[in-house]
Amino acid sequence: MGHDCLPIEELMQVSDLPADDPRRAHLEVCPRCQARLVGYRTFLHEEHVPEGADVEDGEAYVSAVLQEEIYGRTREREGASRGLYKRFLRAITGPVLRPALAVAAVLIAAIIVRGVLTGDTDGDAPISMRGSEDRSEASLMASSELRPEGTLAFSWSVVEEADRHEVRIYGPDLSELTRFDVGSEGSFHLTRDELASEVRDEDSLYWRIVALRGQAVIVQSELAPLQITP
Amino acid sequence: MTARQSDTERSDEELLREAMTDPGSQAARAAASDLLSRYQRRVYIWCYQHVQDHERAKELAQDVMLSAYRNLKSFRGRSEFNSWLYIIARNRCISEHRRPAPIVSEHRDPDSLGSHSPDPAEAYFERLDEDTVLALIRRHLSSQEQLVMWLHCFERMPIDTITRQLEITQSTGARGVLQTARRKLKAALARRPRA
Repeated sequence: MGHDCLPIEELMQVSDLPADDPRRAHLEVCPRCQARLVGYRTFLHEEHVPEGADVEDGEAYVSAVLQEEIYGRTREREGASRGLYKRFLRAITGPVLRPALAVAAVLIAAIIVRGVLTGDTDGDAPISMRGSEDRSEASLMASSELRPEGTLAFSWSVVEEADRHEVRIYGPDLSELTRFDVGSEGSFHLTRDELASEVRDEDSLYWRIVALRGQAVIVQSELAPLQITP
Repeated sequence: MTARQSDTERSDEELLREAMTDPGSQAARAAASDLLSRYQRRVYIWCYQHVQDHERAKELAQDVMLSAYRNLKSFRGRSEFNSWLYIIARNRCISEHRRPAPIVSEHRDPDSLGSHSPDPAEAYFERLDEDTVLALIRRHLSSQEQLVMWLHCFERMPIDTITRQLEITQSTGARGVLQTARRKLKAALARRPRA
């Protein structure tokens, strides 16, 4: 950020200051500050729903995850995806449908067995990572461990198509703090001192491994919490 | 007043205070839940605008909300809660993309993100840090072009959102402004003295 640029959290107040205020004057001519203010206002006030977005399902999903995090269980909400799923499960395991379900299960098992015996496996191509068009996060397994001596040990499944991997570390506000080019190895070690200097012990950090070919991201792991203190 | 006001009557600050008063208590959890629930729709839509994919947007929104909840204790209250949450959402979405090049070949879609080109002019701009690009665009572009370019290249805002937010009325919208800006930058780069 430039010397005069303003933190996002101050931009709204600054935009209401008199025009001769130095901070307001800076905002008037700085595209970076203006853009950040536009972004913030868009976040707060944009009512437009983009084409293809399923707001109801998105909101229900986020709500269910949040309730699970806060209360340690999933609340059912009317219309929520997870609620619908649970109602579906209850319906198919209820007394009326249970016999029908048993018959269906036997039929499905028979079809699968027949397919295996006859080698009829159309559509069962081996699962592979298909690069950025897939971007399957779950397919890149990664883990981190805080060792007793204080070393952070990262490991992941190497992506053959990648020419290098990066360990990326994120702060509590999910901004990227630092990244390490770790080549084609499947593991990496880091001491607490090698993390960004502004990191405090009580901060909640996150990390991920990113597999790249040139500058293109092939696949990346899910963002995972990073424990830096015992 | 009833024993517990409905969450629509309480400000973010009141809910936040209650969420922080006795963390782990039922009242604190309920307050945190009410507070964050107010923003889950906005966060999802914000994420969707950035990735244009429902499943990815759900995952990003989930990351944002979980991070906000887990880090509520680190929120100092020196700013509006919604600005703090916005920063988390912004950072999370920005980390999803490689920065679009400030200039790209004219035959390419200016809305494309993370594409890679051997064009030396593009490669030159891709290596520049924010402050250098800022100085360049302030020297060579109109104020509208500067803002559109910054919104797209550094805030990763989609073209149609920029058009709507800046109320650009010309038929090509922000896309046309961006193309003009890129042409100007490329021309400026061609004119610069060789080292």
